[in-house]
Amino acid sequence: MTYPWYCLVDGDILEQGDILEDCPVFSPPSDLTLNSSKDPEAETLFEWERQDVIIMSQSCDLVKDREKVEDVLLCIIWNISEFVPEFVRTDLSEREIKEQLRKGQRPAFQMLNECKLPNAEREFRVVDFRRTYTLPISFCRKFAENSPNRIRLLPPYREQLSQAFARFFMRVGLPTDIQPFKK
Amino acid sequence: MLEHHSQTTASINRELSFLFPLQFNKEDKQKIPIPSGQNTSVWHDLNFEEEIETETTQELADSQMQRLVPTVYDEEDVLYWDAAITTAPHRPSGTIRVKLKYKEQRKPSPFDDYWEE
Repeated sequence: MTYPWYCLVDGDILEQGDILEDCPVFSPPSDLTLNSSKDPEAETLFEWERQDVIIMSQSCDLVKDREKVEDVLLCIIWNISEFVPEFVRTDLSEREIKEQLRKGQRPAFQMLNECKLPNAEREFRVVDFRRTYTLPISFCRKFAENSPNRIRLLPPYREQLSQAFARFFMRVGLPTDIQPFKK
Repeated sequence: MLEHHSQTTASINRELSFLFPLQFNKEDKQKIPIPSGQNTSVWHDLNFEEEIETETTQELADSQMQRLVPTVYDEEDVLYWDAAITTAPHRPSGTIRVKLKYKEQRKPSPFDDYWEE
């Protein structure tokens, strides 16, 4: 029995592990100040960029017409070819970095397998847990509806992704570690 | 800081790894005893001062002493918690003018059976 990593989906049904490519994400200006009583309708400039993102919210929170959240939690995905040069400044080779990612030795990231589905071929990719966004669920549904042949990460890989995110998020640094055993 | 420490120890591990095949020969003063595989420190047993004769051997001894720092972690166990992308790859981007509408503060969602399917 094979357990494929991905399938292709259409429509506005959202699940954890759905990949939204070229999805716009927005950032308010850092100097934005609002006074609701004085500025009931203010205008400003938001920065936006298109990113490949993956849905991290639980599927059960995203069920259509029974949503339990108003916003969808998203993490950015990088192509491995974009990711590796970032670590060239270390003394590790590209292969060593890829191996560390594959083994989960860089907890802020989770490697996703390459996608070989016809007409949806993608290289190995890396989810970046440090870069999270939220978007309104209605916005995500509309965007998904207009994105045919979306790639969906399948179980158990999406649960592993969720677990890796949780592990990174709940990390605790100890001020004094237990010393290694010498015998 | 944690990553730096981990990378340092990992680097040391790599350097040490090539020392393990060495066999100690008492007549060869340039060689070093095989480090213990049990994370024990071996440099205290060495007396490099007696063996130093030239500047070259001093440098060699210094480098060998550095390599004899006890093994702390296996490289396979190291987690690089601080690894991060500092410069994000470029993506199409721009600015958008938005009109901000003030809404009342959100109320808590009405409680229902959260695990209901």
